[in-house]
Amino acid sequence: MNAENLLKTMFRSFFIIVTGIIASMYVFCLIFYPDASFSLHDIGGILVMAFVSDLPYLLFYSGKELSKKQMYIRKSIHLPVLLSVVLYFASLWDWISINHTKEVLTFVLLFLFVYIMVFITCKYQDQKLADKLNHRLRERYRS
Amino acid sequence: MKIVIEESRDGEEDQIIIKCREMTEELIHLLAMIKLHDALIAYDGTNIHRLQPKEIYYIEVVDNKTFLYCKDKVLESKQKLYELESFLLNSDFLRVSKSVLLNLRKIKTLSPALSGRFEATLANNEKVIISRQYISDLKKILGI
Repeated sequence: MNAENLLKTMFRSFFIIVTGIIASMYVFCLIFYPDASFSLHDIGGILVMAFVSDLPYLLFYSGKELSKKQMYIRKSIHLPVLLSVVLYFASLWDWISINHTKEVLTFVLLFLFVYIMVFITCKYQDQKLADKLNHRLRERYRS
Repeated sequence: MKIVIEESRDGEEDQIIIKCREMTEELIHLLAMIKLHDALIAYDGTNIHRLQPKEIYYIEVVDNKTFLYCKDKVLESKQKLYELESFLLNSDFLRVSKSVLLNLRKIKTLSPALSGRFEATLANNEKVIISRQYISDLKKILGI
């Protein structure tokens, strides 16, 4: 991904992450802290968290178009790096307590669930489009 | 460079004569532009080839050099990618990334390649990545 595309992707993903964090916080607090309330400081925290979660996207930077294999490799590095960043900031701001295994596990599972759901949805949509394109290509050039 | 235009005699074929001490890069480029009218000129070391666009699978720029990828050979072109793109306009060639022009006729199959990109497997089993930003052009051409 070149610099221009990377910046566009990071900009778009910033807003997706903000939405994702708010949705995850809602589910998380519903399970563990149903009486929780949030301050202005927490909103700032969400924005900072979205920004730092965006930074591992820099792993996808490349002057040349990455091959499918290279993309999968970078994606498999991106996942643990992103998870580490998110866990670090979540514990730093006391969103989770590292000593509570159950809490950490739920947090990690929520994170993985969102990550995998987004991955599967994108892959499904791309596969649908690929099928359509293949069909049209066959119609156009092999009929 | 001096340009001389002379009127042909009756019945004489139109011709372009290049008079020079040596074939400079500039002259080779000029020659390639003239020859573009019927085919593409490509180089394989010191050998010059004339290629029909249908023989080319894809065209790629690597380190500011333009390469034409055919079924089982790679040739170099002296032309820039945008020049070839404009020459091949309204043909089966489509810009699929910043540095690649792809002959759609040579695509065997397309598959997703993550992040909205696609991988085209060509008839000679080579693989070319189609960037997300060029997918809309492909969809438009194929009427999707």
